Amino acid sequence: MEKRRRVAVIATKGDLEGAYPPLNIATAAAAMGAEVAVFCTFGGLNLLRKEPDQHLPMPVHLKGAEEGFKRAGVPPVSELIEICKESGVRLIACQMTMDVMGVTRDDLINGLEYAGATSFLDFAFDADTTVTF
Amino acid sequence: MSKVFNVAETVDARNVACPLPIIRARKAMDRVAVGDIIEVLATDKGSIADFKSFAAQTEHELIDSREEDGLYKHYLRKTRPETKEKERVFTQTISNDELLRKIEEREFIRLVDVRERGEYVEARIPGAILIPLEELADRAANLLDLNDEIAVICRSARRSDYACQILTKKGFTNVKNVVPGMIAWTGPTINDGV
Repeated sequence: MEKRRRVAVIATKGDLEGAYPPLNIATAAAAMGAEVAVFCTFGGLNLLRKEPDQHLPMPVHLKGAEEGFKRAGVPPVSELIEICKESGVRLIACQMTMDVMGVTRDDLINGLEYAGATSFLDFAFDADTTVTF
Repeated sequence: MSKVFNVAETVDARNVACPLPIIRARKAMDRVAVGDIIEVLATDKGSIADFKSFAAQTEHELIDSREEDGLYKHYLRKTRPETKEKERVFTQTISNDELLRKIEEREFIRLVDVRERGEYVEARIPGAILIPLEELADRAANLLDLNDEIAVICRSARRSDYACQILTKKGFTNVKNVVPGMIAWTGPTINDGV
C-alpha cells in the first residue's frame, strides 16, 4: 500500500490574511491526495466559527483589497471550510484557546475535532510537510 | 492548429482563484474512469504552473496546457485510480497458484494483463494478452467475450481489481482478480524484449 503524503497545517491568526493561506494550502494538498489536518489555535479558531467570514476582518494594510478579492474570484472562507470537510481534511479546534476565550462548541461549526497540542503532534510527527500561519 | 481531445468531462474554473481550479479538477478526476481525459477551463494565470505540479504529484498525465485570449485550457488524463478507489474491493479472486494450475492443465481461461506495455514486455505469463488499464474500457468489448472466464492480472492486484470492476460494469459475467499478482508469480514467464 502506497503511503499518502501527510501535511500538517497550523492556523493562528484570526483575520482574512490569516485565514486564506492555511485553508488554500490545506484544500490544495487534499486535492493532490494528501492526508491533511489543520490545527486552529488562538486567532485561528475564528476559521471554525459559524459564518466565519463575519468573524474574519480585513487587516488594515489590505483595506481596499476587497475589490481585488472579488475580481480574482477568491472564494469565501466558508466555502474553503466546506471543501475541507468534503475532502476529509481534519479540522482541529484548540480546546485551550476555547477555554481561554470562552468559546463553546455551539459557537463553532459541526464536524470538528476538539483537542490539544498533543493530539495534533500525534498527527504532525509523521507529516511530510508542516506549515504554520 | 491545436489538438482536439475526446473529453469525458469539462471543468469550469473560470473566474475563480487558486486553489479552486485544482480542487474542481480533482473532483472531476474522482468521477471519471482511468484513461478518460478531463478539460479544465481557467482564467487563473497561476494555473499553468499549478497543473504542471498537480500532474507531477498525482501522476495523472498533463497532456496539454494552452492559453487562448486569457483563457487557459488544461487537459489531464487519469492514469490511475484515485486514493479513495485504491483499496481492493472486487471480491471475485483467483490465486496465483490456482491460475498456474489452470494454465498447466490447459483449462480454458482468458488471462488479461492490465499493466503498462513496458512491464508486460519485460516479463509476462505465456498466453496473457496485454490491455493496459487505461485502454481497457475502450478495447475490452473487441478483444474479449462477455461470457469467457477472464482472469485479470497486474503487478500487485490493485490495478487488476479496478480492471475487474470496469469489466463487470461493461457486462462481463465471469471476471476474477489474480491475487497477489505478478509480484509473486512463480510460474513461467516470457520476455518479449530484445
